[in-house]
Amino acid sequence: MVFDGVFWRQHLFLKTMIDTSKVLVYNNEFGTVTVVHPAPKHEGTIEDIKAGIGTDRAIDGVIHIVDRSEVPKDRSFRNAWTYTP
Amino acid sequence: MSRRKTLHRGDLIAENTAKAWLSYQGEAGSEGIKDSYGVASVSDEGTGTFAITLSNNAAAGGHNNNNCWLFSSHNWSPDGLVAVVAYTSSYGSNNPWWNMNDDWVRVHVMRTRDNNDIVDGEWFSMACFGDNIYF
Repeated sequence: MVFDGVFWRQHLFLKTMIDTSKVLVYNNEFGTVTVVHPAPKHEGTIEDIKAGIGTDRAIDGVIHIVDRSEVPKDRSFRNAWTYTP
Repeated sequence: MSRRKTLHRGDLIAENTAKAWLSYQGEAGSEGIKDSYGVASVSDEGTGTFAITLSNNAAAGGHNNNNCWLFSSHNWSPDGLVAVVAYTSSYGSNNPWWNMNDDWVRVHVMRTRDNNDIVDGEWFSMACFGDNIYF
């Protein structure tokens, strides 16, 4: 194993990166859905972000944690997106 | 938020430094956070509408009106840029916040195509200054 700069940044300084394979989804005040993408460099969990956002922005007070792969790639009709758990 | 950021080699936290910055590509197919510091998440709220939540409050002592938010954008020149407008919002009649929030902001960055469709802005960046030295 080569102990290069990346190794030391990841291990010596103990940066814990967030799991970016998950996103938060909720119904918003604009009549569509919000998709919350965690910042890759954020030191915390998706649950921390969910708690930080709170429920004020979700009109029905519910925020879902879903796989990022479920988010459509085509944004042509972005404002028509809906989410059903 | 009460979680204090862990300092690492190269980090510099002072009243006169940016507490957070972000580079975000909004163009469909390539969208996402390209790089950031002090940012917890970016919320895609619809076409050209995004909310940025910081890892911690940028202003010390809960002084919500003390933040300085800066935005800029990049746009493919044949497309018309509609707007780059950022604001902090109050939410809901049950919990109105009439002060500027110190840990999140919303930005509208949109452009038009030849057919006058309004689509996501190609790219935007953000910086946030505040006096919280315990960010």
